[in-house]
Parts: sequence; structure tokens; C-alpha cells
Amino acid sequence: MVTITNQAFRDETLSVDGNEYVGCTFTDVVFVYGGGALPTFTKCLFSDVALQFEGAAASTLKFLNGLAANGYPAATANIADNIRAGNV
Amino acid sequence: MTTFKNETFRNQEVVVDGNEYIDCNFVNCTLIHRGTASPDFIRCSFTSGRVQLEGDASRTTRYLSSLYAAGAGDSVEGVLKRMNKGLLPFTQRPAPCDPVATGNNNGRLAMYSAVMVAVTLFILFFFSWAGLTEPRNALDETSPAAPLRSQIPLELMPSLPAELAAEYDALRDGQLDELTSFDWVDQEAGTARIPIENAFTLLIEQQAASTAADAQEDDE
Repeated sequence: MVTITNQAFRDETLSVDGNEYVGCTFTDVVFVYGGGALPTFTKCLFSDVALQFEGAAASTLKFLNGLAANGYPAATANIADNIRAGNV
Repeated sequence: MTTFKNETFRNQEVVVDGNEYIDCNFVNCTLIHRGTASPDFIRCSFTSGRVQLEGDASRTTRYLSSLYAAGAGDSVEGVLKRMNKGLLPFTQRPAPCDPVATGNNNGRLAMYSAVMVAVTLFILFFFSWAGLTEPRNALDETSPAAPLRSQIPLELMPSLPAELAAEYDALRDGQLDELTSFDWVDQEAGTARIPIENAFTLLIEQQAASTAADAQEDDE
């Protein structure tokens, strides 16, 4: 785990797996998550952050996306609600 | 990868990682995904049931949830909305380029171009030379055409049926007999038939006598 403190990221692509960000600002940044160790964000600011997924993370979203595309949006809607509520 | 076709899964847990489901029905099933490999669903139907994420797959939802709580809600919301509509694009970072294939390979390009030009010139030269030395507009006299009948072996020629052959032979014998024998045609009228060789001789003698008689009359 790498801890990054009080740093400003702009126009960058960051692999966030396992990192700890404290007091950072992200502007026009792409977060790439591969499904590894969870990153943590403490007192950070986000502006125009795009999310990109690889490996297991991409596989998981592709699975959920495929369920919705096959007429099963109820399952993915439930998961989305849990993500918003922090119940995961 | 395992492919399931036209199957119905009912009241059971189904680990879907890496599998392919075509025209399958899932009734009150728990679909378990562990994030190892994405499954494919083609023309499948789902009735009730739920989705359960385990292992690496569950970390993905926790990552999104932590981002949502940390203040990147807009970014997470964009992903969730597209996911719920089945419209999520899966952009991957492009693989790094092969170092061998980078840079300007002008030397290699020039070498390949030279080889192509040389091959093209050789082909053009070959056809030009062949057209000059072996023109194909001259007739081939080495095997002149032969009559068709000489090419067909006699034993392969069709033969007449036995009845027709006998009738043909009788007809031909009768015609030859008429041409080579003496006989009466109409005895009361005094008309007779003589062999054709005798007839030729007789005609010649009669013509000669008639010519001599005409000449004598002219002299007198």
C-alpha cells in the first residue's frame, strides 16, 4: 500500500489498487481499478473523475451489465442501491 | 468455459464465472459471480432470484461504494446508470506497443519495396520473353487433324440387328442379281433385262453404228 498525502492530480491516469489517498485533489483524472486491494480516499476532492476497470473488476461489471442487457435490470438495480447506501 | 443451451435452472445456486448461457431460463436462482471470468448471457430470461458477488467481484462493489462515500458520487452514478441499462462500455488501457514495432523502419520498408519491384520486373520480363520466343498465334502442325472415322476402332462401331442384317443382305443380293442376269421383264411385249455390262457394250455399238450411218448419208 502506498500512502499519498496532499497531492494534486490533473489530467492523469492512476492505477488506484491498494493505494491510500489523503487530502488529495483529482481533476480530469482517470481511476483504473483492477479488482485488487481496495484503495482508500480520505478528505479528497474529485472533479471530472472517470472510472475505468480491468481484470476482476471489469469482469464483475461486465457480468452485471450483461444481466441488465438480458432483461434482468432488477438485480443490478438492487446492487446499485446497495452501493449508494454503503451496504456492500 | 462451459456452454449451456436451452436449459432451465430452477431454485438453485449457479456459479456463472466464465460460462456461456444461450437461451437459458433462470427461475428463482442465486447467480454467483466471483470475478474470475465474465460469463455471457445470450437470449436468457430471469425470473425472481438474486445476484451474489464473492471474492474479487465483491471488492468491485465495495470500491464503488467507497468512492461514492468519499465524494466521487457523480462518477460512480454514471457507471451505475449505464450498468443498469446494459450500456456500460469496457474500455481497457491499450496494451503497450512491441518495442520491435516502434520507430521508423525505413530500411526495412526500402528493402521490401525493392524486392517487390524486382519480382514485378522479373514477371514482366518473363512474359515479354515468352511472347517473343513462343508466340501462340501459329497453328500447331505437329498433329494434323485426322478423319473422325479413323479414330474409332471398327470393333466399337455399332452393328445391325440380325433380322435387319438378313433383310439388308437379301435386298442387296436381289439388286445385284437384277444388274447381272438375263430375264424377261414383259415377255408378251418383248421387253427383256440384260446384265448392265452387256447393256453398256450394246449401247456403245448402237451409237457407233448410228454415227457411221449418219456420216455415210452426209457423204452421199
